[in-house]
Amino acid sequence: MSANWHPALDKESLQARARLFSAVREFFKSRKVMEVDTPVLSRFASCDPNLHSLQSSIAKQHVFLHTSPEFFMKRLLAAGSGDIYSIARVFRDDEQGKLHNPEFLLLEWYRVNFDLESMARETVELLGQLLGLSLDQDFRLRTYSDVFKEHAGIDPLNASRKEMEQITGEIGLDTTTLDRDGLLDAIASMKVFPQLGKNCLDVVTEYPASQVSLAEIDSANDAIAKRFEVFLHGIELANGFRELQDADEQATRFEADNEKRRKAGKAVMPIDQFLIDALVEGLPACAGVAVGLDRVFMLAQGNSSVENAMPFPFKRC
Amino acid sequence: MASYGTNEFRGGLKIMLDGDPYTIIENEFVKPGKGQAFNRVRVRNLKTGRVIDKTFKSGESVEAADVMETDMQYLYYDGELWHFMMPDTFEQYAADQQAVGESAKWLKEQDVCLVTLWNNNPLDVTPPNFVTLKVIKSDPGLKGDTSSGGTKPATLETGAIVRVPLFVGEDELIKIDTRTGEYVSRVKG
Repeated sequence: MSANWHPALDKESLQARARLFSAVREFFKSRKVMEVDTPVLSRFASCDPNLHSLQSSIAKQHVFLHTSPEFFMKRLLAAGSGDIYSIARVFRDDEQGKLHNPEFLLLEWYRVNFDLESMARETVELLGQLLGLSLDQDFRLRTYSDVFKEHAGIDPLNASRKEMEQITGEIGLDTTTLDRDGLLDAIASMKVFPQLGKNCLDVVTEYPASQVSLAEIDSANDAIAKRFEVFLHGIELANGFRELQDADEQATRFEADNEKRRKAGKAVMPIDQFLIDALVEGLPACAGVAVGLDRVFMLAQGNSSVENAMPFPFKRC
Repeated sequence: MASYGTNEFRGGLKIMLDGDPYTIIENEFVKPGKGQAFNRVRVRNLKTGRVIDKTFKSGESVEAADVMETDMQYLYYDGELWHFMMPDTFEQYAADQQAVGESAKWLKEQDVCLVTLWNNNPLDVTPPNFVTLKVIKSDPGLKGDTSSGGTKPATLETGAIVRVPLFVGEDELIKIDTRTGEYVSRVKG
C-alpha cells in the first residue's frame, strides 16, 4: 500500500487553511464586496499564448476548463453586480513545479471605480492580514524598469536584443525562438523577480504594454500598461489590472494573441464572444486582482513548495 | 530518435546536449505570472563530470541519451583497457582510461561494479562502496609516534595507497570505503 492516499496536510494545517478562507471572506464582507461563483467549464478559452487550457467535452461539444474566473466576473460586472470576489478553482495545463500545481485556487476580486493604486493598497492590506506580516514597512512601489535596472542592469523598455542575450547567455538559454517579451520573461523570472520582496512586499508597476491582454494602457505613455504585481520572498503573489473597457480593442488583442499562437504552432482558441458583447454593453471602470491563494498559504505556513500547502497536490490525485 | 519534453524532466533523466550525454540533477519550472514558462536545469556531463546550468523554453523537447546503468563483473586489465562482463549474458565490455578514471585503483577481479553504458559503450565505472583488498607494502609503524595520528600509509594490491592504523601489517586484508578512500576495518582472510 502506498502512503500517497494520505492528504499532504495534517489536521492542524487543514485548520489553518480553513482559517485562511474565513479571513478572506471576513476581509471582503467588511468591505461590502459580494462573493460570487462562476463556472469552471466554458465553450471559450483564454487566447493568451502562454496559458494552456485543459479541454474536455460535453455531449460531444468541445469545452475548456477556465484558467481564471475573469471573463465570467466581467460579465457579472457589466450586468451591474458591483464589487465582487470569487475563490475559484482554476486549471492550467503544463504548469507543474515548486510554485505551480495544474489545479489551484485563485482569489480574484473587482472594485468598481478603483484606480490601480487604490487596488494595490487593498491587495497589500489583504496580504498583510493573511500572512500576519510584521515588516519594516508595508510595501514599496517600484516600476518594472527600476527593478530591471537594479537586478539585471538593463532598461527593459529600451535594451537591445544583444544586451538581453548577454544576460540569458549566463543561464544557458537558447534564445533563437524567443521574442522580445520572451527574453524579458526569462530575465524577469530568473534574475529579477527572485530578488524582490526580501524585506517587505514589493509592488511592481508599469509593465510593458506588450505583456498584457486584458489591462488598460497608460493614456500618458502607450508603452506602459496599468498593471501591478506583488512579490514576497521572490514569489509572485498577486497580479492586478486597471481593466480594459474597450470592446473593439479587446477583440483586436484576442485576435493578436491567436495570431501569436498560430505562429508558434499552438492551437488557436475560440474567442469569448459573450465577454466582447458584455464590454460592448459596458464594463464599469474598475480594477481587478488575482491572488494565488495556495502560494499565500504556503508562505503563511513557512513552506517553500505548494505541494506541501494543499490537501491533495496533483501527484496525490 | 527518442526525445523528452520539458514536462518529463526530472532528476536522473539522461539527455543529449551539444553531442554529449548529460544527466539531469535538478529541474525547476519557472514562469512569470503572465508570460513564457521555462525549465531551469542543472545537468552533469556524463563524460567529463562537469556540472552546468541550462534553461529551456517549456514545451521544447530534447534528444534522449541512450544511457543505461548496469551491474557488471570486473574481469581483468590488459594494460590498456579494463574488461567487464554482464553476469547473466556473459557479454563483455571494455572500458578505457577516461571511463574508469579514479575508480581504477579500487578494481579487484571478480568484484561487481556499476557500469554506465552510453550507446552501448562504457562511459563510467563505479566500484562497490566497500572493497576488500590486500596490503602488499606497509612499513611497521613506530610505536609512540602520534604525529601521524596513529596511522601510516599502506600500498594495496591494486596500487592504491591508503592510511591504515599502525597495527595493520603486510599481507593482511582490509576493508576500504571507496567513496571516501578510507580504511574501515581488518578482514579475516
